This record gives sequence, structure tokens and C-alpha cells, in this order.
Amino acid sequence: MHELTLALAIVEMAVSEAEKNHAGPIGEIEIEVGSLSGVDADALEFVLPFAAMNTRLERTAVKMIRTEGKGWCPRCDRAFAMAEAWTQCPLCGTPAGKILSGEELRIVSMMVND
Amino acid sequence: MCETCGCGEPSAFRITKSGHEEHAGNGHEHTHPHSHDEGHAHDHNHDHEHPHESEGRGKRILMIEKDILHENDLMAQRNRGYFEAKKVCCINMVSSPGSGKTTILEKTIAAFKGMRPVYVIEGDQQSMLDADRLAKLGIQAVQINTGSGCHLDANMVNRALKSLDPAPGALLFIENVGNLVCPALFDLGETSRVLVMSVTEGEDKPLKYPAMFRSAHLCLINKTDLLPYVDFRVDVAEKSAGDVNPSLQFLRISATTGDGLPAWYEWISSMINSAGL
Repeated sequence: MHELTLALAIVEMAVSEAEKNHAGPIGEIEIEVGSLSGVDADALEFVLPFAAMNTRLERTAVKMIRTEGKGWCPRCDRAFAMAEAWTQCPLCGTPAGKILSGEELRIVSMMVND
Repeated sequence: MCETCGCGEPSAFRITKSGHEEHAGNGHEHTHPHSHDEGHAHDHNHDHEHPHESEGRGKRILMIEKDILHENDLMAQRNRGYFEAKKVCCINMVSSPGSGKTTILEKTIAAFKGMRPVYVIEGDQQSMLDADRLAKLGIQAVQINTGSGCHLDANMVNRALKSLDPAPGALLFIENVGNLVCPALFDLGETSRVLVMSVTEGEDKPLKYPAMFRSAHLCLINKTDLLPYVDFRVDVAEKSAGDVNPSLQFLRISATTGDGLPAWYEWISSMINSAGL
């Protein structure tokens, strides 16, 4: 359960980006969390309002993008859906050589007023 | 409140050199202010605004596209650069509590200290116990007490490095807080990450904590002397861990009896060589 650390980091980063861009109120923040990132998107969404308390993000709407896991099979040279971090290629049973998506943990964008 | 679990009191980490007065850290500073005297600009504000007509006047979308652990990762890269410049080999040891990390370190320090300067950064929520235990071996150990926090981050390690000031060519071990969840996400700038799993734990641990197993380079399976008494199939554990991280290497050891330790020392030596340290 490290979601609160991350929520605090999100708020801090968002405030600093808003300042850098001379933005006014922040209407919405878009956050991407991959299903293989080791972070529980629901828990993160739950703690964000607490992390945002008494900051510029207090009234900001949160839009969560949940990205599904996708791996690449080195043997079949094809992508496959990964429900879990250890999901193997459904055709040949080889573990993913590379994770193509699902490890995201980032702020995508913010909608701000001048 | 704990920065990580949300439990307990305000988190203020403390760095204490074994045998010294302790220095309080003023909590996690996640902004990592640093001077730009070196002439590098950190202005990442490359006009990414994409004003959308439909959003109405005065409203705009700022494209941020930044990892949430960006600040930690930047500091980790600074640590990594420091290690490379000083030819320090840094091994981040992670595991659940009670896997035998400190005993492994005791043996490993004794084996290496005649060859290279050895240092330890100890991470625990409370107490100087581990740093004091390792300092008895005649090496320098610094203890980071994370308070109620459950992982070390790159900033804490950076501050500990300033206090430790390792000699060039050193071998530095970081004993992370015993926890298989949070430390997985926090790059410390280490040369290599070693996960310790003991046979008294469940063989399905890799499937329960995949992020940690995926982030490690080597998995030490410790306490093999207890195998006759526990229901732990090493091959099953290795198979599960290999499914999560196909490039993970394995060594079976017993820090207590010394079984398998030469292979571990050999692994460290070859890692030092291949990293050019």
C-alpha cells in the first residue's frame, strides 16, 4: 500500500507543473495507471483527494486511465494480453520477453484555466 | 502520516552513522532542489500546451506526460552517476522481513573486506541494531530510519552517501527495508538489485509480489539448510519467479552453514567486472 506516497508525489508534481505554466485553477488531471505497475488504481483514486487537501488540486477532478497489460512473445514475435505479470504467450507458453504496456504510472495531462 | 502506508505519525527519516550522533532528516523532500551552477538547464517546459478551441476561452490542456516517480528516478540517476564516477559497486538487497539479509551481509562483508573497501547503508523503520551489528565487522555502516515509511528512496540514499563518503572502488550494500511491495518501485541508483527469498516463506511468493521479482537481477534462495524441515520446493519457486522475470538469475545458499556462498561471492565479483568497476 504505497498509493499515498504516489498520490502525494502526483499532487506535488501537478502543482509544480501548473506553476511553471502560469496556470490558474486546475479543472482536471488525467493520470495513467497500468495494470502491471504494482499500483492499485482504485486505491490511488481513493487517496488522491486526501493528498490534494489544502492544495491547488483540492477541487480538481481526477480522470484515471487504466491501461491493460500487454507483453511481447520473443518466440512468436507477437503481442499478447497480460492479465498478470506472469501471463505467458497463449500460443507457445513463453514468458513475455518485454512488457509493451501496463507498467505506466504517470500524469498525462491537466486541464487548466488561465 | 506515513508517506507510504498512511499509518502513524509524520514521516521523518533519520540517518545515523554507526557510532555517531544522529542527524534528523526533514522528511521526504520530493522536490530535490539542486543548483544549476553546472550549466545544465532543467526547463522541461517545452511549450506542450495544446489549446483546444472547444474548451472555451482561457482553458487549456497541459500535456505533462511525466512519470509519477520522476523525481525519485532523477535522483536515482544522480546516485548512479556518482557510483560510476567513483567506481563504486552498489547492491540493493531487498526481501521480506526475516529472510536473512543481515546474516548474508555479515558473511559477505567478511569475505570482501580484505579486497575492497566495504560500506553498508541500512534501512529499517526503527533502531540502529543492524548498522551496529555490521559495524562490528570493522566497516562503516550508516543507518537510515524511515520512521513509519516502508521503503528507501533515492533521496534518502543520496543523503546517506554524503554522510558515508565511500572510497573509490568500494563495494556498497544497501539493505532495504524488509518489504516486498514498496521498494520495488523505487530505483535507488544501484548497480544491481538482489532479492533474498528464504525457504521458510511460501514458494508462491513470486506470484504474489511480481513487481519486486520483476525488478531484481538475482534471487538468492536462502536457508537451504532448512529444506528438510519445510514444505518448500525450490524448483517451483524458481519456476514462478522465472515466469515473472525470465532474466532473473538464481543462487541457492545458506548464510548459516555457508553453503553456496562462494557462488554468490563469485556472482558479485563477475558483476563488478562486467560493470567495469
